[in-house]
Amino acid sequence: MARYMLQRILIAIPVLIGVSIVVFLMLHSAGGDPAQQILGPRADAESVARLQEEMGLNRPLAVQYADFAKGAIQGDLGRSYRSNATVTSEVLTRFPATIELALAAMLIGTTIGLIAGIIAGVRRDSFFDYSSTLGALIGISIPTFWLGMILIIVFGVELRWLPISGRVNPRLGADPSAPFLVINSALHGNWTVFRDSLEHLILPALTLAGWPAAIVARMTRAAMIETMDREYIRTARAKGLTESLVVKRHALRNAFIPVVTVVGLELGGLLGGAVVTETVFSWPGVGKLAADAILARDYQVVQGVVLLLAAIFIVLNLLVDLIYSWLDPRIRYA
Amino acid sequence: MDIVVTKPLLARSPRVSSRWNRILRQFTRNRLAVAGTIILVFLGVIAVFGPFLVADPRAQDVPNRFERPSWEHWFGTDELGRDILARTVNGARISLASALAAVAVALTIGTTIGLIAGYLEGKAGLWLMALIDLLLAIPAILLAITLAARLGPGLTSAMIAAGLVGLPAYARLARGAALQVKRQEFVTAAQVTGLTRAGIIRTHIFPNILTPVIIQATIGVGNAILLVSALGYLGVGAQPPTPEWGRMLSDAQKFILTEPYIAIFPGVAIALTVIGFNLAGDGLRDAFDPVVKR
Repeated sequence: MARYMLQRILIAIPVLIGVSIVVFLMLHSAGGDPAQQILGPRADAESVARLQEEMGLNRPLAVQYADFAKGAIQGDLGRSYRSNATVTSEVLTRFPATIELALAAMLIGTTIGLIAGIIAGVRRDSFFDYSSTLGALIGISIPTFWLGMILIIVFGVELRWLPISGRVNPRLGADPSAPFLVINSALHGNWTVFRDSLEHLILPALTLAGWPAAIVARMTRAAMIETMDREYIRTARAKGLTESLVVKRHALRNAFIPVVTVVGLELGGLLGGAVVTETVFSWPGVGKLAADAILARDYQVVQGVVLLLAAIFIVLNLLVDLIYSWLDPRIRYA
Repeated sequence: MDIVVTKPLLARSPRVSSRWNRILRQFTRNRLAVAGTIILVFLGVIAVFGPFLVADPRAQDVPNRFERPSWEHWFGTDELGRDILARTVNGARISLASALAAVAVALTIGTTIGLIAGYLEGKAGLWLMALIDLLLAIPAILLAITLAARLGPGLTSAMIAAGLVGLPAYARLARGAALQVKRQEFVTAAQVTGLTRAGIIRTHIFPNILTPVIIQATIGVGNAILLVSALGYLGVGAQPPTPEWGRMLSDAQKFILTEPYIAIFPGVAIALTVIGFNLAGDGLRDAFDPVVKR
């Protein structure tokens, strides 16, 4: 196991370096000069040249990358052109909001997906199976931002039950970039902030949960059906176990293995989906930061966010691999 | 030479035609797949002929802005008094065309890379695939918006970005299939007859990977539509006044508190189109590969 883990970790390092090169090249070489793009089409050649000089853009790409990589290892990702704050601090202040949103969405999505998938798989071809299959199809087919807008229309505009933007009501004086605002305020007994931040979290989390719920439901259903056809399930039934015991004790555990992979991989996808969801709900996380930075051509910030999310994605993949091999020892020796 | 002669024979052989019959029967018996196909045909007709039948999607009529759906404006009018039906119908052409273009780019480049990587194996093949895997290590939407923004916001950038994001799937598929096919005897036989590498890839390996690639492409068009519309929504895709669905929704959100109906129809159009491609794609996969079917 230790050897396998080491092997996997060693593979992740060159992938991370490769990703940083891809992101760097994408932002520094494709489609024109960043200095020109920042200053706009009407800027004169002299100011463009001055900004190029200032940003070190006239040095060879390899030198620029080496410089950037050296900084990145020390946690220095440059400065935002807009706010002049360091990219690291910009990203770190907004990251907790994204984590809270992504975890809430994953929790909702996985719970709905698992329950729907298990019931649909056990009661195959029932009315429930058809409705949940249809629901999953819709879940993977509708655009995330439109799902968010529909939820806003229904629960925010028509019913007026829930707030439609932000993370907490600014009048309550709570820090909108605080980590785990909902849980934290509950732990501190600040029930006004707890209730308000929970209400703010519901719609974005539901929006972001749509896709993973659909994927997990599909995956769990398929895994359940495959497992329920196995011989040891027949043996368990022949022993006279009740159907619910057969499902609980024998089927679930084995059906769970492919689901773990999906959950892990979807969590990475969620970080990407957060860009859209955070924009819809003005959620103050890294996704909104990236979307705003892209429109403002603040490429240092974009680079920082993309690298951070890619790094998390790679680490998550690594964790999924390790959990997977722990659940199913056959994988290690393959 | 041998093989080129056998090709037409193969096409006429009863075993092959019965295979296609079986696949077609499987597909048409699958009600969901048929429903998906009907949706797609309907959308195709709208995309091709619709724009000739509706009003000018860019014609503004500010005094009649924000009109609710009525006999005159079936889907109502938007903030500039433009007919939403006309814009949604024209959007079908834009969305389908840009998604098809994105998939064409992804499929052509991805399949070529995958075929070469699979056929060469060795170090060169591994390097090529490592490059492809790097693209998979960055969350798709993030990769796409970064690229689209850097290329300069616009529909073409969105297409290229969606194509690049879709590319790894085809490369992996093609490589896997190429690795499998190249070990089979007819490929060895072709090598013995002196056919060049490119010739073998073209005449023997490519036809054999066509099925999985087509299935992937069908689902891929749906995903490309979602991505292109998301890029439009975020402001790095189609620019106004282009009646692109994602862009229309982004404009609609500004008035969501007072005029929520503007946000309904473009969204329904996206969802319906993607459902159509997903259903047809699932149906194709089940029809071609009955073993996987549940």
